[in-house]
Amino acid sequence: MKPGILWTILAALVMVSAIAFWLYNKPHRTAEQRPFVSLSATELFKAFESDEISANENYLDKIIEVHGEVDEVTIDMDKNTVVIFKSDDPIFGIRCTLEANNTHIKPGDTIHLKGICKGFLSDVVLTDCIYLKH
Amino acid sequence: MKSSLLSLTLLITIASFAQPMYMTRNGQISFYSKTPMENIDAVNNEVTAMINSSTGELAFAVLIKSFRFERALMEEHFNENYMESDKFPKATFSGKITNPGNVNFNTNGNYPVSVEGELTIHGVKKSITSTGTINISGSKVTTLSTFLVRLADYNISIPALVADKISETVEVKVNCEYQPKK
Repeated sequence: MKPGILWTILAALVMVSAIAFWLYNKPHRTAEQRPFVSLSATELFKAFESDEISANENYLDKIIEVHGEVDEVTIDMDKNTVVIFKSDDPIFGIRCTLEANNTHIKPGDTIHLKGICKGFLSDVVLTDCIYLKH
Repeated sequence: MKSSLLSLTLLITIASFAQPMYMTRNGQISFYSKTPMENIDAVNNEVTAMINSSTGELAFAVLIKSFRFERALMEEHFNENYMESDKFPKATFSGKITNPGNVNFNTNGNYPVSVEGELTIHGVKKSITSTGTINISGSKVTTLSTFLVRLADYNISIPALVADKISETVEVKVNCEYQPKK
């Protein structure tokens, strides 16, 4: 076999293993990128409440910026901050998971967040949310 | 007429005080797959759950896309290849405590319970039974349960290539802390 072919095979092998290694260790998605859409909490809730299937088609896995009045702030079992935005519904709204260091957010505040849309339970759920200073 | 209406309103008010609904949006469901090749676990902290303390009915709902894995690639495979989460975005359980008389929601303590109901995963609905505990501590209610899910029961197929890395049966753990519903 010519040495040139050997080198080509070796280089291909190195490339394939590098790609495999990168894929295996690739980082989790964040909401750092530009949001796909910016909506009020009421608008986003209404989209899911009125037609969940088409809202899933439009928003699932997308980064969404949402703004509105904070109804409730709690802490989940992994100590992340959880913010619920008010909507037209008396109980449910937009449920957003943020990192633990967001304790400055208080009920009654009007704020902007962006996060990854995971779907609709009784609330619309956004995770990996980032607090936006506006 | 007016007084009967008034007493009816009063009755409803008393009933809703005496038999509160408990709710959480921060429940946790995790699962664990163990094989000699690889152990996989994933956690979801965005579980919505409700208990009706008077009837013993309970319901859990979880979004498949918000299960968090250690590796992003596993999370991607779980969503795209196994759970098809674009098509089946949530898993739900709805059922009831079969021994509700054993639980006193007004007295602190740990109460063992049996639960039966319908579990829907990957668009497939199955009747299941499980055991668990309910802990009452003041106004806080905590439910804990661990049960096994056979992937084939829910038409979740694992390609032969990775079959030795993913267990045919995964252990699911449910841990929810409820507050009385406002």
